[in-house]
Amino acid sequence: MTLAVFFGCTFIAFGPALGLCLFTVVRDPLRIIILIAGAFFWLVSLLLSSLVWFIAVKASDPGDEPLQKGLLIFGVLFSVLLQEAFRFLYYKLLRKAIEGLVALSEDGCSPISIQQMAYVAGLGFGLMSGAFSMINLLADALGPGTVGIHGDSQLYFLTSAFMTMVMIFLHTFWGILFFHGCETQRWWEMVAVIFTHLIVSGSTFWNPLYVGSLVPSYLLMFATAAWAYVLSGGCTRNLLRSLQGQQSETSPQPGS
Amino acid sequence: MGAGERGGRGSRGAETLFRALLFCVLGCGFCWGNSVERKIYIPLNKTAPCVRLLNATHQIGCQSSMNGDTGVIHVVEKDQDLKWVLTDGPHPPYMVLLEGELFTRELMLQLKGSSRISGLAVAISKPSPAQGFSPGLKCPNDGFEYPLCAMQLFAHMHAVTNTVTCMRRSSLQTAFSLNPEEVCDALSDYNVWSTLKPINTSSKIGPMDEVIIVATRIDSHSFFWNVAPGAESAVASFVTHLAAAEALHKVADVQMLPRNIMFTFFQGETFDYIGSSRMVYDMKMDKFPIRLDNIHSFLELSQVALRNSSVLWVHTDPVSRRNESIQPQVKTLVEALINSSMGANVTLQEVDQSQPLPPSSFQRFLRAKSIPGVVLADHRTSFQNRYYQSMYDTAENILMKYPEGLSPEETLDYVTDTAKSLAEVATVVARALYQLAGGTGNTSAIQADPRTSIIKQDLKGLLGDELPQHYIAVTTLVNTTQLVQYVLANLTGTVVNFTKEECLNPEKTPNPEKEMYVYTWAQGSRDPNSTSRVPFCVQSTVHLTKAASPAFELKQWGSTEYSTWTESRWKDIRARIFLVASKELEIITLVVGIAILILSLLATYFINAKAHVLFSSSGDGGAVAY
Repeated sequence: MTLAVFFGCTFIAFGPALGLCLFTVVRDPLRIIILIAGAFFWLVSLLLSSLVWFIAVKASDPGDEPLQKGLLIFGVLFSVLLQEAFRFLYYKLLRKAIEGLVALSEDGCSPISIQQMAYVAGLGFGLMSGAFSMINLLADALGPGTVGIHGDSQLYFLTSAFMTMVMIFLHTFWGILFFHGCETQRWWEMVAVIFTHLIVSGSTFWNPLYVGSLVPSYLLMFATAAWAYVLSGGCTRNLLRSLQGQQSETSPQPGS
Repeated sequence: MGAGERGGRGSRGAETLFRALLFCVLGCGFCWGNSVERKIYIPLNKTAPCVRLLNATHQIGCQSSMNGDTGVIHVVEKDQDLKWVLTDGPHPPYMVLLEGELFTRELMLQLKGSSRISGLAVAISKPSPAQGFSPGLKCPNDGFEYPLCAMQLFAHMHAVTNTVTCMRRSSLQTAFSLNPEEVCDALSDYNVWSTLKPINTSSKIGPMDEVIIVATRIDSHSFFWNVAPGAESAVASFVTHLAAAEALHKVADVQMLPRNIMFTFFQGETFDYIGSSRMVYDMKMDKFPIRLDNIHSFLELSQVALRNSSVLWVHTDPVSRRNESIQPQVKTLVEALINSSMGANVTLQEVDQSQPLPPSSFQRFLRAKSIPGVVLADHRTSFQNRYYQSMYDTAENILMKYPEGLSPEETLDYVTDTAKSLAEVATVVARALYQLAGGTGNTSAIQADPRTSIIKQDLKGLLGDELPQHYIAVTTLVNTTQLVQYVLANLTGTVVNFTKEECLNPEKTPNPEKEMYVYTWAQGSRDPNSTSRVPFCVQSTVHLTKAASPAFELKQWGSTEYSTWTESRWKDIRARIFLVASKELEIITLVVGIAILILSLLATYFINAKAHVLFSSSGDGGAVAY
């Protein structure tokens, strides 16, 4: 569909993530490392879950449509659980890393907090997930044709780009929620993350009825965003104050 | 647990992971195309492109852009549809889809030069059915609103201008480049020839020995690459020739005839007589066992399948007939032919003596030396063949009709009228040749078998599901040449009792005659009751000689004397159809994308700047929240 669609879809899918990376991650080398390692952890989880699905598909009869659909659903389920398991593993790794950083630091304080790590890790997961969702579509978007000759919806590229954007955001917020739950031993937060992840991935089975997948995903994204904001120390008062351009009541120093 | 143990377990795990990765990669290598690509494109499988051919001064054929040419499909069924394409249609450029009948010069001239057309596709209406895609089924909106059906054609040719340019560039590449990229190839293949009495090919025949040459062409051409059914222009002629050769070999006293007969099948005649010009050149340069002086007379079979009321016309060359020694020999030739036609359902008539020859290989021989000869054809002046060198020159063109309801095996045995008619021509030719070669026996016994001619025509069907094509091409030994070679060997050769080793390596056996013959190992036909084949060795006099234009041997690429036809090289020839979206949708996508990008950059900057305000309430206590 030519260059216009290629760039349009790239910007839709990766624009917000680019903004986040540019302003919050790129300046700090530690954050870059955590971002890339997070992406790698997600990649490994995808590899293992796709291996399982691939073996299941090859071992079964390719002509049996309901079976293949069932295997796909199973594959998605397994993949979600494995991704969250890897998120937990990454949390454990980062916890160990903080101890190391504290030992190396001069003032006994880690230069990066677990909350910041949570945010960056989530962003790393999201970026790699988005890349795998979108890159092969973008490659085909460069050609002269658009989806549709076999009856699929023409909005395929556009909706995939929006879905990718929402997944990147969701992974970021899930990272914050999940790590918070692990830190404070609130297991129900972790369960909520897994649960919403399953809902969002499951809703994609509504496609090509894009209303069924995009609308719930965006709604869940706003909900998770609000929750993550609150957990990160925000409240509506701060929001209003920032919009009015005032300074906070306390001076900008770390809280006690 | 010691460190060593832990390390060992870890490396085993890494190994299995690596093996799993390898398995994944290999497994994925077997799937075709990306699933998104399959949603977008439908590749067209049974297509024949039009490629570029070049000669000393010009280029002919077609070319596409490097990355293919795309256009909205528009089906043109009548002339009024052209107006839409050329002026009215709102979504240029168009890819015109033509029915076969409309593909004419007038229409092409109308389309020439229009920038609203990016390409043309011709759907062959008969005999094969449509390629299996029907734009009406898959393409929505009847071609008026988006999304529209479009087609992309890839046929980028590497050679340009003419043979001189492309051969010069190829030779530079071969000389100086480590990885030469040649841009064109000369058209070349092999001629098939065989003699009635075996001759020693490693030396020349005696100066007093005389040979009568019988010639036909075996190739054809059409607008599209490798589509060259050539039924009337080539196949009927060489089938007749094969039948005549078989009939002559059956005669008892042929080995005693004073003159030899050489059955020659020329390849590449369509392109300025590549085969015959090469043979004449070899004869002049003494590279061929037979010299020009040995040629007693020449008989050529031109198009012979469409005889009007069973008349076969005899064409002679007026220029050489002015020579006093040639004229009586030509008369003898014609008389022999007319005598042989008594009793057969063929009426031979001479055309006006001042009329020059039709296009024929004989002319190449006449250029070198005046030889008495005739060309037999089914037309007096203009061709009977309405589809000369066209993709429609097929079996229907020579009126090969089978009755309804025959299975493929039955059609192999059925003798069509066309086969009978060709067999009659072959009979006349065989009898005349016998007389000319000095035979004194009764010629009425010489009869060409019509089953020979049908088997030839149907064996071709066994070569594959599609009709065999007779384009000379640049790869050597095309199917046609091999077919003629093996069939001729089968028909005129004898089975000898050699083992496979002796047959394939005849120089190892002490046999004084082995220089005169060629040995071919045939795998034999399948027994209907069993699945094994009984192979055997065939001894024949069928030889192959190179049919490449002397211009390429002499490196005279701009030669006007010899054929200089070359075919361009290419990387990728394919076609695919897909839907295209409207420009508006594309621009909207781009604008939305840019808007989201800018918005998110601004929002992130703002949030980052106000972070100390936004995330300041440290209700958790402890470490820095953000």
